[in-house]
Amino acid sequence: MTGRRRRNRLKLGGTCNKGKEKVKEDQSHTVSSNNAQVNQKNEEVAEGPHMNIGSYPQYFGCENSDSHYGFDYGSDSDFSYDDFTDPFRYDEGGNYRGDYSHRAEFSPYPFLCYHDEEEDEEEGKDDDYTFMVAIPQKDEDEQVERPMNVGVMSDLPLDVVYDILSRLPIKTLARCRSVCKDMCRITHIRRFIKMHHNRAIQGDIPPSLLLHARYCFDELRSDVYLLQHDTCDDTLDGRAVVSHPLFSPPKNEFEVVGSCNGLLCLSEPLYYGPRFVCNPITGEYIWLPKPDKRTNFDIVSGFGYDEVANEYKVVRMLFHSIDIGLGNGSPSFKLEGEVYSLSLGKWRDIGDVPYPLRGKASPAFVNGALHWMTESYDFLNVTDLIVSFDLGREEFRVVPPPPGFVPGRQSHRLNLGVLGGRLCLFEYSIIGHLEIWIMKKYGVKESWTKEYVVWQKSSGRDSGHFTPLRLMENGELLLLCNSECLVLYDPVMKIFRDIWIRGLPPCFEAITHAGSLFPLRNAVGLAKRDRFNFSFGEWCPVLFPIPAHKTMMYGDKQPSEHGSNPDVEDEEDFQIFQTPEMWDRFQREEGTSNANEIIEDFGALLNLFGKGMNTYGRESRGSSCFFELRLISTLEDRGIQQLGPTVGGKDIILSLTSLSIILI
Amino acid sequence: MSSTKIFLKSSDDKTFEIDETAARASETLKNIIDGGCLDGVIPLPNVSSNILPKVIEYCKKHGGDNGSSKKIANGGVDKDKEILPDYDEEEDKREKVRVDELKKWEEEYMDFDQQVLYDLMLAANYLHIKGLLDLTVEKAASMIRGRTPDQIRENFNINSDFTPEEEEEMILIEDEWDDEWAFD
Repeated sequence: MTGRRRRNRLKLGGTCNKGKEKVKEDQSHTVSSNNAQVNQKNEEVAEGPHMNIGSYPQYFGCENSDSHYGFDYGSDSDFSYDDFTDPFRYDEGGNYRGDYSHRAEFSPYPFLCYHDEEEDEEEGKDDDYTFMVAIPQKDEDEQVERPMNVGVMSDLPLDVVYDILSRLPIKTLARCRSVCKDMCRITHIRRFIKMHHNRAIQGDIPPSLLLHARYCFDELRSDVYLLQHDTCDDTLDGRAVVSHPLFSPPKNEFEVVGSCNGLLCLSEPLYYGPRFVCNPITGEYIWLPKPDKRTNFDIVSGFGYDEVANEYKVVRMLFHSIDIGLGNGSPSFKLEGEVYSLSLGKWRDIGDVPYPLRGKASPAFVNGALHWMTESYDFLNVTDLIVSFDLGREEFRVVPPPPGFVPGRQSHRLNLGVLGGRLCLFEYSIIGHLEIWIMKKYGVKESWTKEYVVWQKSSGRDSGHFTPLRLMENGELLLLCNSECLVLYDPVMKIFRDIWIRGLPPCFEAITHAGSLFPLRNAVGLAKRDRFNFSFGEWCPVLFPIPAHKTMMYGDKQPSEHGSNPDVEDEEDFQIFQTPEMWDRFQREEGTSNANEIIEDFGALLNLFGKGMNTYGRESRGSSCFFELRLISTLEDRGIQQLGPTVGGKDIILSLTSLSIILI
Repeated sequence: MSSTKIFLKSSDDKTFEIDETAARASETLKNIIDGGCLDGVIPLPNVSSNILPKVIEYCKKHGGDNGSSKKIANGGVDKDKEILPDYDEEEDKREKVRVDELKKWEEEYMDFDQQVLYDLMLAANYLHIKGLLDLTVEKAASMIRGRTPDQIRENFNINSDFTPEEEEEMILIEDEWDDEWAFD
């Protein structure tokens, strides 16, 4: 390594060229491989002290000893490392701190350098790399957390402050960010986000509603609104306001496939093929690769979470032929299923689906399985069936219907849903009432009970189609009526109560959503090549952007305990380039070549990730991503002796603006 | 009821008496008791004499049954309980009455001003009384829920450290975000 020059050019826009050395990417980031890397690292320490090794081998993991982290920077740069401490496993004295494997759940995917091997065969050619940055698994507890200046709460231990704030619904949390800088800072701390996320998905925080409005205001576009009752008690009455700016993806029209654990899956509106997964709160999204196959039928889809494997999965099923076969023998159909695992990053065939599933998106994700209604044909008798698709096992099953329940197809319309975390069957009768069956114990036929009967007449409406949305804490049912308003139904008194909500779109669908700041990148997984098939970006989030760039200045530096660098600069060298314009100005002032020198050095990027990406940029509100460049002083603020190439005595820190919102 | 008495000394050198069963509601005290360090008085340098009786009151109510405090913390609904077809309704009713009673008691118990709340939170955190911590934290959270930033600042005596420009920008953002919050 030593003495080898490796120059990596960094380009704005997400590609970089590399030199002649072949750069490999690591695809395994298991704890064991981390250990191996630590060991490997230590061995090499013995060989030669002048090596360019980052503090976080697991971020830049590469098992190839030739190139540790997928890239390397020129050792002719005037810096060296004398510290090889892995802050995850070793404390500041270099002592092993024990197994930190639990941190792996944050999916600390490294800086990845994607390299097309075909191109590599052409020697001398400047190979393009697409690279992707993931959140470095910085020990954020040490790095960011410090006593907060939050008024009377300042004396409380941090855990207690987090506990308090993690009980807040997402909308209140978003407002807390403008209370003071420290409060804002908390909403960026990964441990806090995790706490809040866990509460949100466990239902400790009442879920909000996402309203999906289509074709309104004479415009062909879809919008998502967040509706969160904001009061202490769990009532929507009078207080709920539809938040104004919406989550507006670049593609104007979409349908909702499903919401799961704070993430939302959207489909294109023509055949309903799933196309995006996003966190509407932060505005992060990814595109799913386009299907190769085409179909002229509606695509059956679903989105859910496999708890065992900690994976989010999108399911898509394409009909190739449908012949219901009425009158001439057995029906036939061909329905091919595919699963997209977010961590794997590609569509995978799951073979033919044994049931002709009805409907587009799965209306119920319960117990780790997606559910659809379907029919089974027995000669001329048609029976409705509930079919589940277990996301972990990836197999279809029939869920037993309520006992004695043989709905005639002509007189009833059935749908599925979830109320209070349980699978529900909604039975709409022609005489205008809605019966709600709840399966109290999943998979047990006997546990089906007819819990509610909602009479349309008592609503005072001539016609009403009610879609149950949520079971409120006081036992009332929240219903969507005719896609135009929300009503509460009191099952005891059997009365309806209209909820007056300001700014409600004229026609909308609604879906419950556990609002969370959960970074989508944590769900998107391993360093598979295929993951580059989709791109990250940010849409306008439902909530206003986190004004982190204001608050994450991160001024409280602590002197490094690992010795100091001779080129220590003062804090006044701290500079942020928030926009490309600022960068341009910097280029003009510093001279283009000098500036390029800085930005071209790929090692600078390494340095950034070594620092735990403590930079937060303003979200770019667009798909184009530009680099945010920061010059910060070489004074290591958190005791990490990881000094990058020094240019004019300054360390360079680069970060991808588009990533900024979730980098903790 | 007669069990070993334990003496706790507050930060200002006042001694309070508590039953051992009640004291076991606190993880910290439980460890001390189980560790056999019971000779004499347990000093609690982080808890003052105005808060300690309050803590002891809670412990007395909850001594020995951590289960019910958990139930309260979950809003009276035990989510872990699986509802089986042969579910005992009588048992359910009794449980409900008990939970309601506890809730009422907690409502009265939690009637105090903010400073007590923080001290109680600190004490609960220090003594590891999960139920009490949950209760107090929930109360603090309810003081934030649904409030505007200004109200939160007022409630918690927080000074905004944003510059006027930043604040202005934030107000703009918030205006854009949801028209007007003045709703009621």
